[in-house]
Amino acid sequence: MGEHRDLLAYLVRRLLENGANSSFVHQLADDAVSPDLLLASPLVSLMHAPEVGALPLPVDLYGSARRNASGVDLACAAHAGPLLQALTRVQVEPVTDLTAAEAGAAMARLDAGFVDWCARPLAERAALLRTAADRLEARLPEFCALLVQEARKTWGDTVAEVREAVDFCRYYAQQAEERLADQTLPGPTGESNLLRLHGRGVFVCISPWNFPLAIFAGQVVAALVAGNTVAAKPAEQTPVVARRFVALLHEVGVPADALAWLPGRGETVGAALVADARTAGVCFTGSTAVARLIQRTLAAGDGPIVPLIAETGGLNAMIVDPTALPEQVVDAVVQSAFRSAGQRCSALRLLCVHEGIAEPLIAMLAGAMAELRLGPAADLATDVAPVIDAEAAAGLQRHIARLRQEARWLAETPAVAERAVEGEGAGAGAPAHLVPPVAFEIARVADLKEEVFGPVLHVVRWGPGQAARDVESLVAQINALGYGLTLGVQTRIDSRAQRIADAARVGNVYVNRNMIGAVVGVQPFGGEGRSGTGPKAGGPHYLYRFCAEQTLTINTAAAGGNAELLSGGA
Amino acid sequence: MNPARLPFPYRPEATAVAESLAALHGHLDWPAVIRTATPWVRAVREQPAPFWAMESLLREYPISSAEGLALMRLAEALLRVPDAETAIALTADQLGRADFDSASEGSPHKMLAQLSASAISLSKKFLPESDNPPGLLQRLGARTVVAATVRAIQLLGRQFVLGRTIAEAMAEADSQRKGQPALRFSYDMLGEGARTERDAERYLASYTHALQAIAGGRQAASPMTADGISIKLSALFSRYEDAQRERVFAELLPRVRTLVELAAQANLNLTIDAEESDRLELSLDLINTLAGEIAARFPQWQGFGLAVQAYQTRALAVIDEVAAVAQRHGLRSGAARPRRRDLPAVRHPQRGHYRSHRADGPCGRRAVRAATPARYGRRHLPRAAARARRAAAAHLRAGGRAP
Repeated sequence: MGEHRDLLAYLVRRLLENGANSSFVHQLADDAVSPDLLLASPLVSLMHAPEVGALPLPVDLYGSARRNASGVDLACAAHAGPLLQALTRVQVEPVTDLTAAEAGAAMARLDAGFVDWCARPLAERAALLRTAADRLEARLPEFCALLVQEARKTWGDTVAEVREAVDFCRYYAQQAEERLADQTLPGPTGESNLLRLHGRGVFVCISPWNFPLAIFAGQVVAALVAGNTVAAKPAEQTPVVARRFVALLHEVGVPADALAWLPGRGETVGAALVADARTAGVCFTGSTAVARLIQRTLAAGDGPIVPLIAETGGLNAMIVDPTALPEQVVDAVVQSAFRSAGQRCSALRLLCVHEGIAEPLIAMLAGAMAELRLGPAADLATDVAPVIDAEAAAGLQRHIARLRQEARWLAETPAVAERAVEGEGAGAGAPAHLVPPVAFEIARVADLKEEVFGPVLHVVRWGPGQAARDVESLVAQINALGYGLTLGVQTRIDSRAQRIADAARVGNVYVNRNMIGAVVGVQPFGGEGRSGTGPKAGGPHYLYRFCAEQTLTINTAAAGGNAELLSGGA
Repeated sequence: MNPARLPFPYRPEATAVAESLAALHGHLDWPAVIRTATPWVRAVREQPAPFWAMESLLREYPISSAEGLALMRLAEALLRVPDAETAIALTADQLGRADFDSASEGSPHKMLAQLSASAISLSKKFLPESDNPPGLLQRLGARTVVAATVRAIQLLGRQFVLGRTIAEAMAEADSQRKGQPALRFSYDMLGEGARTERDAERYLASYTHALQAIAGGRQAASPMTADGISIKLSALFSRYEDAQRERVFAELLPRVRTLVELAAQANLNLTIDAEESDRLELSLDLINTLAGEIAARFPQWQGFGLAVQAYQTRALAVIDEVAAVAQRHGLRSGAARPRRRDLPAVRHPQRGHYRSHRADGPCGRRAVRAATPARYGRRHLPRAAARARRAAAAHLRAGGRAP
């Protein structure tokens, strides 16, 4: 029982999920099915074909060419136990930053190591990646615990991150073998033509603290498998998990002079690496401002023209129309805006709600935000852990203070006593840096000027009475922000979702789900405009950018005639 | 983290099915099943329940067809749309791709099928091609089509739902009972799970009100002969999840307790609905706590039950665990296989949640009752459990999925 408008959605979903026409109840209702047929024992078919499942198991999701990373069910004691135990064992040691001179010395070693590494057969490099993936998967609890300690990630986030790193290794190994092998090209007789791909030289990989393992690993193994040697600079806040991963790669056989872990500050080590004359390519994930700085440094050099792969931030919007189911929208918004304390480049920053449903939807969102739990990352019950450091917390507090003046406050997760999370992170007694999720309403899309990298959600209404009258003008206004990373769409109007996706200048569009957690090889990740250069990480076009190309044309008739023609061959 | 009550959940399905099959070997007399069930099938077909209309409509427009899917998807969304523009866009989008003209004649629920069909055929004339704003004339036509579609969906809703309020539902139940006095209902408040504290409070109030209305200030002679209620834990607490275990016991448990008290005092059935499998251990912990309280405070009450998802690889282990819980607290586990005259709440997963079920049908979920004192007597516990296992195993493959 219940009001039709409240329960039909629920009923129909259940019906569509369960209502195969072959089901017993449907057949019971169908007079054409005889009682004998209807009551035939289901056990008979089971005994003959016990393996009826048409769906592959999770590990086989991507076919025989690539194994999916194993998952962890945190609600299952047998799965969660090893993770919690690992936390008592791992230690995040202090790390000394390198100097610019030390970075330069490393570049010399990597430059010298390039020829040997690049000469390794492709299959061998790919095999190293696969071995690394297996080792990493086996050590998942340890890496999860490291991520909790060093990066203040919640357990669920750490599992997703280690799995992503495993997937990157396997995916790029597979892609390399499929795409980077020599290709014979057509041409006239008496001539052979071959297209060959090889590494460019020393690739500088600079990664952020928000995915200190997955993004770090993705950049490094892509550059390596393509034949480059790699100068890997982790974020200042998270060098240790990167160090462990580099050590793992060295253990499985990547030579020391093919991969170097170079911790340090961006202004010193990062700047030195980018400006180094031996740098043959830069792969960077981080802020748009730093990407510009790198681009200018590279442009100013007199040496080779160096490619830059940059994946930066976004002003990511979610468009909600009145056909969407409010409960599903609220789930997606809470996950997209506040998971990982909003510290994802894909995170939702701007929720665009149709005016006809804005009031009840905002009320439900406020109620859901009130139920989130702030706390230490190590606590399984924590939804929102502290942000990465004091500087980030202060920046967010400044932005929030400004919004309290300029925008309409909507909702906020209740704060908890700071002492509850003290002692976590870099050392005992470290300040907590908890930033409670908060939402503000702004009048128009253009009021959102800059990326706010934390749990701060902006809400704007659209519809006939608003600045964005319809979906078309709304999408145009979102495009005009100049970023283009992720976009969420919540609608039951299929053609509308399609048209929004067509009009949006955005790298990753998600319809009727959350808009974070892109999966390697499934949702290749990366945007356009101020959000990055592409190609997408975890996608089929990524590795090419790490390669130099060479054609090899041989005049096979130079010594007189084409022997193959004479022998009746080609 | 609490120790697990159930086996490891990630096991190959084939192994689990083979084990269940082996356990059944020699225990199942299928010809007897057919002999018993054939008259039931005839009876159901000769006197279809009113809610059967949905099945008929689905036969006309199967979900696997574009038309059936369009109709279902409209039913899912249209009623919540507040503005005409969006309603028109949604209707055009969904109906635009379906062909409803070819519906066969002589459908048993002609009226409903025809109403849908005519709404849908009209849509071809009046609805805009896509979600672009239509012209004025077209807009007038479009509003008519949308109104007709809304009407069709409301009719459909009426087939599905006993009543919009508990009073309406009980009146409808009584009118249905006139022809069939043995009919029993288990009322279910339908809807999404709670996302907020306010949602949870609303559901608690609604369950409380419904229980009071069903009880009517009287005490039933036996839960088996009275209407009952089924409650969804995820509707009573927005964070019903393993990671929030402490809050579940601190905040959700007291709410369930008040409902259990009401049901026990009125001597009614109260069935706890099944939840997603990653909350199964949590549910069993909660049920264990409640069982202890019931044994202490309402030793005479036999109406406490829970729904079990029978298709799960852990289904039989759940039933064993429930029997063990009941035994530990000195409750009887009157599990499964109901006799004809005392029917526990058994649900048809294909229809999701709705009203009562008299037939011990091929269900994906099965209510297991733990109550006291023993109907079978405590010494018969293993037999009751074995019976439940057999019954559940027989339905392992019946499919279905709980919310």
